[in-house]
Amino acid sequence: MASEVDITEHRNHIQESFLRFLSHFPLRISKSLYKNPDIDDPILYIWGPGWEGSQQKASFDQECLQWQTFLLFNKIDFKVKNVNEPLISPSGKLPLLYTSPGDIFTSDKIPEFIKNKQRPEDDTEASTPDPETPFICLADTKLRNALLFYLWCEPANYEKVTFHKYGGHYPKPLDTILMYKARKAVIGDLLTRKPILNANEIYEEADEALKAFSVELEDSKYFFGSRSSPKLIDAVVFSYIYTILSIPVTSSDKELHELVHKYKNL
Amino acid sequence: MPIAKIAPSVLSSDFAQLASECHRMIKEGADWLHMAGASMYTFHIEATDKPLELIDKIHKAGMKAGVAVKPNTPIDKVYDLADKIDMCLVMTVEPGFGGQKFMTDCVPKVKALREQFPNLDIEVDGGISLENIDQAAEAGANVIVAGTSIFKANDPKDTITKFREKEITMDFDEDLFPLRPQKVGEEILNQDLKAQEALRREREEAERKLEVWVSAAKNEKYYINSFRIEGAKKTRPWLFEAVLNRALKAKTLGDVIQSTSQATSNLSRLDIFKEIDVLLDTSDDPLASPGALDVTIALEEKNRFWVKTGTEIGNEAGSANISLNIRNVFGGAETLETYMSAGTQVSHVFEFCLAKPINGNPDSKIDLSAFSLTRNNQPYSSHDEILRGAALRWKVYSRLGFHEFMVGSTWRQICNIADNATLSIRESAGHSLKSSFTHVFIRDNRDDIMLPSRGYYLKLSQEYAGLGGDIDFIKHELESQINYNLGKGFIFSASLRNGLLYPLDGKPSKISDRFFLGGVQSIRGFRLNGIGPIEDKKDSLGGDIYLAGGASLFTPLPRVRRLQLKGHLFINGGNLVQLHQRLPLYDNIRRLGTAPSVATGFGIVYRSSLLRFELNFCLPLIATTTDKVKKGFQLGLGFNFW
Repeated sequence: MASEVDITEHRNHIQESFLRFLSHFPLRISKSLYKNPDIDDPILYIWGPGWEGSQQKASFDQECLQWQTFLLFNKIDFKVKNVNEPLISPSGKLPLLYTSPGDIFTSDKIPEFIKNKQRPEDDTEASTPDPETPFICLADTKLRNALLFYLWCEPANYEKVTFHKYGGHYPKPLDTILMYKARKAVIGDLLTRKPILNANEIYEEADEALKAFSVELEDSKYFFGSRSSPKLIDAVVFSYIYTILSIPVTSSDKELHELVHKYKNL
Repeated sequence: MPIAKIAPSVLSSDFAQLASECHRMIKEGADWLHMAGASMYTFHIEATDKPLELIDKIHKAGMKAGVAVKPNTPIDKVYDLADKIDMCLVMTVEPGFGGQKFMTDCVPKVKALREQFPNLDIEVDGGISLENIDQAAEAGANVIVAGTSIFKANDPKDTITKFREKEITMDFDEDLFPLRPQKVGEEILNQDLKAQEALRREREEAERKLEVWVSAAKNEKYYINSFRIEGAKKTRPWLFEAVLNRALKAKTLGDVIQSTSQATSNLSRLDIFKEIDVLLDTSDDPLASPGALDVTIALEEKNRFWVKTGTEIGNEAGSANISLNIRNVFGGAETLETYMSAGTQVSHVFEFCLAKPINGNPDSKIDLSAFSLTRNNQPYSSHDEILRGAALRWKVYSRLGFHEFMVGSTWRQICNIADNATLSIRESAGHSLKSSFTHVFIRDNRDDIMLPSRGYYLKLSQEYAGLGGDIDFIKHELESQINYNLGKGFIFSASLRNGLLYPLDGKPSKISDRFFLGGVQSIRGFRLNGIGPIEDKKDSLGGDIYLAGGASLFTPLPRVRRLQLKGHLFINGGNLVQLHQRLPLYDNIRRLGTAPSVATGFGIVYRSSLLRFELNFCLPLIATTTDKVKKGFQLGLGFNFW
């Protein structure tokens, strides 16, 4: 027995001295010439800069603007980067919130990020039934349909505005290829909600939705007036209306623009 | 009247002696100079246990197979092989000794063989003379090895005539004109590439000897009166005209032979013919002037369609591939290749390439290709890269080496960014379009690609991007290696590489264009692409300027001299940095020297017929804070090691 122990001890000894020998290497470690980029605040990757004649920092894309606004509403410090490249995000869509490697938040995960950032006493409110959900849903179907149709299906708008905003930074002929694919995806998305894309019908539905928002808002600063601070629904409706109003008006196809102007309180 | 034919071995015989003899033979009555593109490879049946495999290998190497039988070996040993071989050589003397007498007891063997196989070429070798030729011929031999009997005869003309009367073809005695190795035996079975190497060596040897011959007979006036091509079905006449054009201008026998032989060699290298036989015949055209020759080229076209499958290993990745090929697409030796590959690092490749030799010259090809490939760079930089593009290339061999000129466009897409990718990798996502002009020059005179023992390698490539798209740069790269055989199995090898990527538009370079450094095939002692700008100790970003060098000493190992297994001591290092546009180029280059990464170590190297295998124990000497070092054992499989 004793000899066996000796052998194991002996072996361990050899192993140890071998590891000790290896730990001397590399003999010299010099400072790398490469410096990791400093990240202080989270970065929100968006489509940008904004529309001509409006806030340059605000994204021209409704979804980006919505979350940009919502983060501001929640008083979160973040930087904005105009990447104009949806491939940066695992969902293939902007915006994307980046905090550190491994911590990235696509648009649907941003509320989660905000909740973690806020103080725990706010948590209690999350459990109460949310009156804003059906309104957000209304905006994300009716208003989105109208906005997407307005940008991607009205030929004059697509050629003069959308193409340059979303695809203008790509070299030819990649812009044509990529925008063709993007447009196909948008139309596919629209078709999942509306089997027939009829301009009048889509704008009428948007009109109804706007009317509903106008009624709900009345004269208060934010939706569901009792609250003093803005919520997600405010960011959603703001982003739609701001985007629609900021899109440069082309001579034809300005229906949606006029539609929004009817509701002065929004 | 039968024809006295100077058989295939002419091209590979010792022309220094043969030259004047051949010339005399034409003058004195031989009707044909018979030259073949493919040589005959004869082996002794006694030398191998697996003759069928050997025959197969010889045929695959593009040669004819012959079997030789020693006097004491029973002839029925070749019965099983007889329909696979092109010739059977019955030795009528024991090989290895000159001036022996014809062994009459071998005659029954010839007779027995002829009875079994009426169409087989049966050759007899040893002690043949006019006195005993009848015996051999009656027994059934139809090819004799014409050695001393012809060349030492008082009247060669008479001897040739007499042989002709007996309907016998003459081959040359290989004792008189020492030829290729007769005994191949097992070696060919063990070494995959040996047969091809032998063929290459033989061709080079033949070319060299031919030159000697040509110089001896170069002043005799001959010219080519006509060409006849037999067996061309799909190949267009203009291709032959282009290839044979130079031969038509030949004015002397030397020129005729050399240019015809060159043309034949070019034709066979186009890889569209199975077999090419060239016959030079004195012209039967009544209007032709003296010295006119008619050339008949008999050939057989290869199959048009072929499929190749294979596997590749290297740079810590493996892949399997298949290529579908159409040969001679439009009858001008064009090839159309469709290549598909799937693997671990290059996820999939699809390439379509139409190549065409210019004017039938196999050394100058133009090709048009379109490709799509997905590269998996996840292990070292957390993204995938999709490349799609098209290119027009001209590949040409000059006296200096190989050149490739390319103009092409590639659409690169950096995508599938991993969730835990670092900031810089995430921000490099996107599309870019590069249109560039590239020139690559390679000069390689190493004796082996995978584990060379002598010779040097030099590769220079220059690229200018900015012909369209959004990428604008100049890029230079140099790779070089030199090897010395120190004798007694010791080999010293040194390499030096550098590269520079200089953006012209003031924007930082894209990850797709940058250089990467590190790994067992690049700088040992570091992980794959583990040197240079690395973010968060995780993602390699690549760099714009690099310098790398290494020295290896390969040593023999005791008891394994026959295997391609060697001991290996090495030291290698380098540095890779990003270009700072604000600094002058000189200062940027100087930064290379500030924080190099160096490693040393020892191990073993094994070169199999397919790839090189390395197992090293690595000790990094100098590293930077961001380097991914690989201490201890490091394993490598691949073709190309620095």
